[in-house]
Amino acid sequence: MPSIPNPQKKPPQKNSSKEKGSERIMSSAQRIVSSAVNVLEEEIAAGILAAKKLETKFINVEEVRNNQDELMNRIRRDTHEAVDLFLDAFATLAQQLNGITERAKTGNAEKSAVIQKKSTENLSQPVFLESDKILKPGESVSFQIVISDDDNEVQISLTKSDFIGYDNKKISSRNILIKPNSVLLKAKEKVEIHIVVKIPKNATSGFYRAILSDKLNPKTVILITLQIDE
Amino acid sequence: MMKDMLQEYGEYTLSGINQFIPDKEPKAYLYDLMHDYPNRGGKGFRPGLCIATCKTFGGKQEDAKLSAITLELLHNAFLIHDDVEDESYNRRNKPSMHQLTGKAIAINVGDAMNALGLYPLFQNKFRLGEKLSEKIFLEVQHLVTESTEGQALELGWRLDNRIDLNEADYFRMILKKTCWYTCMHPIRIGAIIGTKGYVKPEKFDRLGFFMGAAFQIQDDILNLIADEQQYGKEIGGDIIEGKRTLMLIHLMENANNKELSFIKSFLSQPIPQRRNDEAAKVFQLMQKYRSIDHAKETSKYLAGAALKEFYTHFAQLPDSKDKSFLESIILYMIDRNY
Repeated sequence: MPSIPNPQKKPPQKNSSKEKGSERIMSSAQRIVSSAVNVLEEEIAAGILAAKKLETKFINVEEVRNNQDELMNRIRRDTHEAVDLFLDAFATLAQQLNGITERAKTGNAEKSAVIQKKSTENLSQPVFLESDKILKPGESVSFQIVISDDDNEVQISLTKSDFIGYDNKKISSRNILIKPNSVLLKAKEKVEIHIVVKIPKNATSGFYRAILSDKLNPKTVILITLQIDE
Repeated sequence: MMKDMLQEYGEYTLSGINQFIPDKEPKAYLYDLMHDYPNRGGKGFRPGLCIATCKTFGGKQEDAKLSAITLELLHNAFLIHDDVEDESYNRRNKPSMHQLTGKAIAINVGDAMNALGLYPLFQNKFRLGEKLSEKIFLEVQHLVTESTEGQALELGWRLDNRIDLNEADYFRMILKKTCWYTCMHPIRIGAIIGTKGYVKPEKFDRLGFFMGAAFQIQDDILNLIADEQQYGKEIGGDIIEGKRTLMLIHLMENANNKELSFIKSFLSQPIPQRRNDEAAKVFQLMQKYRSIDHAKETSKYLAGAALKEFYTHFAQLPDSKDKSFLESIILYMIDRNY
């Protein structure tokens, strides 16, 4: 005869073993996940600490803070370094400017406000025009260049390529307007050329490059670079 | 669907890898060998996670391609070096590279693949701009650092024949050795690209860690109990190599003194001198102390925690094939048999 449980003696505990099993699993899972989380948090904190230590290897912030004389010396030294850096940068910039001027002279094209030089070197060096800001589809960007020639009368006629991006994505050259795109430049004359690039509304994100070149002197190239972000 | 997508993203990345490997000399002892591991049919978790996360956050597949290529190149470079360091015989059902070429050539191929992995990162700036590319570069720099630290930790344990390790030690080691590069960084990089940098990548750390830990534990379990043909590596190889897996650590925590001294003596021998019958005894001890069951449970709990993290950070995003893929890949981490 099957035994009948006596509710008075032993109150029914429905699914009690199942519940205990679930509790055990929950507590075991909780313990394991907590242990994993603790390790992760410790390691991330250690990583941050290590990064800060590495940083202070280059600039010992605490040491400088604790030593006021050193702080003043450091400020003086840093100021000198900053001035030196500025002078170096200025000299480099001036050199680059001269280089561009020379290229402009040879190719008869240069960025605006650059003083001309008589050099005729670097005929094949390109001029770079780059948009300062990231463009959105539908926006436009303008560039101005001043072209000149010291000695001769020169005919300049600029042709344009499509913009080419990553994976051969293209923006048609029809979106580049050059005014004037053809000019007869007299000796010592300066002519300003305006270039407007209109980004089509369906343009996709990425970096694009287009080349303007002089039909009569194909080695003269102007490289336009821009970045589009939809 | 999930396996199809893994395969699709894997092949998409592989086509990019093949393009990046130079077609020049020396071919026989370098460039041809660089095609070997990537073309052996890996699972493609890393590119899959990176691309799918990018798309789930609204990015384009092509935007994640270069980063996916880097992840897979570095992964294969790590595998070549790992196989040398672990003295492994097989990789994906074929002899490991150093078995085919000798250690010197294999190490050099791994070095070259690590270097090649930098080039897609550089190319990223033409596609994504400098700001995003710099962020991704730092992600990869951290990935490589953590992975090598993790590997050092484990190799050091083996060298010192450590038998006093615990679960937290194991979690720390796999966090560094596996999780950052298998899941955490692929997800972070995908999210950075998909949101164009407007996301704090740290918020995916727990998700990636839980996923990566579940993946690694399952991998270690499969090394003991999988079908060798499906798994592609020698079964029980981890015991012979003395890898400090969760099962071995659990066993060492529970074994009696006699058993522990046997394990210590077994692990103190050089790898080639460790006998199969002794490895089988270690396996039996793991069964006796239910170390494999314990690891299976741990892997499931971590996968559960990963799912919770996934819902926390992805629930508000629009439903898509890629979002479902990410959800199902978490379960696949513990359900897979290879």
